[in-house]
Amino acid sequence: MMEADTGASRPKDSAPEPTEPQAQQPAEETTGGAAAPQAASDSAGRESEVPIGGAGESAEELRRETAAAVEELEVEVRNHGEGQSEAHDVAAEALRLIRANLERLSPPALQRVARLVRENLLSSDYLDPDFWRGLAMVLRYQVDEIAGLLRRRSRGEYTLDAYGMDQELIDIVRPFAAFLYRTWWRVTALGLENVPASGPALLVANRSGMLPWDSAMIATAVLEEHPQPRLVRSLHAGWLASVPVMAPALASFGQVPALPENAARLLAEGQLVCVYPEGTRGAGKLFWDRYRLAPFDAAGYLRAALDAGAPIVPVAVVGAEEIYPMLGDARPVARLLGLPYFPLTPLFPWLGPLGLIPLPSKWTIVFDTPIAGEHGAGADDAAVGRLSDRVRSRIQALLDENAPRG
Amino acid sequence: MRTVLITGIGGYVASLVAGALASQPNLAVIGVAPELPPQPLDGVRLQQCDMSANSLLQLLEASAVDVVVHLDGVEPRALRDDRRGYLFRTVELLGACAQAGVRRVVLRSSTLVYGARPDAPLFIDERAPVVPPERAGAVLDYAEVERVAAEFAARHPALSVAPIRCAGIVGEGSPLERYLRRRPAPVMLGFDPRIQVLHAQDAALAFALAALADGLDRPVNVAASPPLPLSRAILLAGGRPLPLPPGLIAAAELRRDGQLHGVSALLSTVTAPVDRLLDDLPFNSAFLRYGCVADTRRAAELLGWEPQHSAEETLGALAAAGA
Repeated sequence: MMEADTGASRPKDSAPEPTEPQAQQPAEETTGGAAAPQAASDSAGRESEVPIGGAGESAEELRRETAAAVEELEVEVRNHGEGQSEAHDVAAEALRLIRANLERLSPPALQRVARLVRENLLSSDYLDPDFWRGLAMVLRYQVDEIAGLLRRRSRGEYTLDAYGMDQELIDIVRPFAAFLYRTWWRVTALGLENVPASGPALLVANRSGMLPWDSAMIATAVLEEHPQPRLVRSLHAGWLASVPVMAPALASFGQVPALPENAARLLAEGQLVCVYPEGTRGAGKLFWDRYRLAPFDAAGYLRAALDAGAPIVPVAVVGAEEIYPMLGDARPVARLLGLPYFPLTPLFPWLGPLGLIPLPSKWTIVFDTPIAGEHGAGADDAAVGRLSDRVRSRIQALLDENAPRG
Repeated sequence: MRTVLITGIGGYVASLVAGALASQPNLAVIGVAPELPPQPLDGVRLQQCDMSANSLLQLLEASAVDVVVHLDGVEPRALRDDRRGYLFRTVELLGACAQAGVRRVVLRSSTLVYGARPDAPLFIDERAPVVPPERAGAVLDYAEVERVAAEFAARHPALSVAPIRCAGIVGEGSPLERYLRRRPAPVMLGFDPRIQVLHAQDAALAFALAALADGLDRPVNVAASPPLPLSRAILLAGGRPLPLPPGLIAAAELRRDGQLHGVSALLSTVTAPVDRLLDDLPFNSAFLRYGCVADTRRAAELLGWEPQHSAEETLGALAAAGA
């Protein structure tokens, strides 16, 4: 892994370097890039010099020390910002993300990040614009580094489960998802205790938004806030399996095509499965129809849950309808591209890929009490149909309770 | 005393099956082929046979054969010129078996007979329909033979037919092995379907167990676990995946079938150099886009079969053999 960082010259880093001009200390140069790293300075007097790359200091120590320093700063920012603007929260969460990412870095990259942190974060006041630029720089460096790490993974270095899920990739992305969860959508998760800590369970949620951000946030809620963090395997619309790049990416994140057979298999293995019975009808909903559940197609999944003896937990996601307010559906374009719908939002497709940046609405995710299946395995169609209606009306009720009026 | 007859005894998998069965007590094993292997096989009676219905019938009746394991198939000689011959030979064999009072015929088939479909379950079980591919090849042969054999068995209740649907067998020098080891091995850009492989010894074990499993009259999937993304399987086998745009692959297939005319044919000559890369694919290009992964629970249930070699191990051995 040592060669991982050499030659990774990033001249762009040198341009927005927010630190004051300082003396160069080439002895500390470890990355060999053109980045012209600024020497650490004691001018602020808040951090003693850490000999970088020096003998006697292991990578683990450096990791620990840097993490501790960042955490200290995070607490300080959080305390200071109490009751004030959200900027403090964002800064604190960004620091938390930086701290989580430290785990993933190779020793040379770690040394560089440690120096960047010391120079740009610990030395400047966090109300200073320089502090924000420093945050951005550290994060960007970490993202580049981690992306490089993923690209360089080749054979034998990672394992996948039988469905193609890549646990390492999930571990890498998890801090970023948690950052979005806390700062971008400021998700409030209610009733997480209704998600069983072990054994099979079927979450049934409303679907919204063009991209499956709602499944990502449900999964993050259970990973970050559940007393017993578990992986949620979401079922995605089958047609996504025909979309290049999307198909393998979804599989890596543990998502599987929505088919009752797949749900049955996962539940039989005792996994936590989330299904969106509105399917494409939910995702392709227009803005004025938001929070009105589209027709449900849940019978197959509910039957799978009954067969596996899995509790059924209705889930309502409020807020995801606003991230891509879909004003129209260009059906001819959709037909041309072979898509089930082609969304027109205030930003998409007018801004191109930028239009896919979701709007930062405030989210609430409510996990309702599990529905006890009074019918066991082998319930008849009518009973499953009634159960489906019950689940649907529960989700609709949760949406009505929590959705913004208007 | 029971008697099992194995056809295509010259093949690698067939010799492994014969070896596995030869050690069974109270079991006589006969191996037949048009050309016999040069070495004798321990405990196996080798007999030369031209595989015509008449000579087969004589042989089956003379030895009172109970079970036939039909491995005189399309692979690994998939590129041999007698592709039609496999179906024809199987029909002759089935006829002879029915007449000679054979109780069961175990056939070799492929898990790919379920086809490459975006809406297939992640693990396909044996109840799923067989979807013959549009393009000729080993998979089409297997699908046709299965259909004919099932129809035949329906008309002859005394004879049961058990197709053993094998994932890509590694160890017999098949086109799949050559593909997985290629540098570069073409894959489809933006897709990475899961594929399954099967160690030749595990395949042989499944055929042997199927020969011994009384009353087995239905298809059984066998595959090593776990299924792997195609690109990873290639890397593990010592190859290097080369992602090609789907359009390029489609054009190459159409051109090979002579279905491009006029302007499109002219245009596609630009990409013709890529065609060479797509020669000798072990399956049609649909399998580069969508996976076809079989559920092997029935094999465990009915045959007591469990793979002894993992997919990674099987492919790793392939890489080691190539290096």
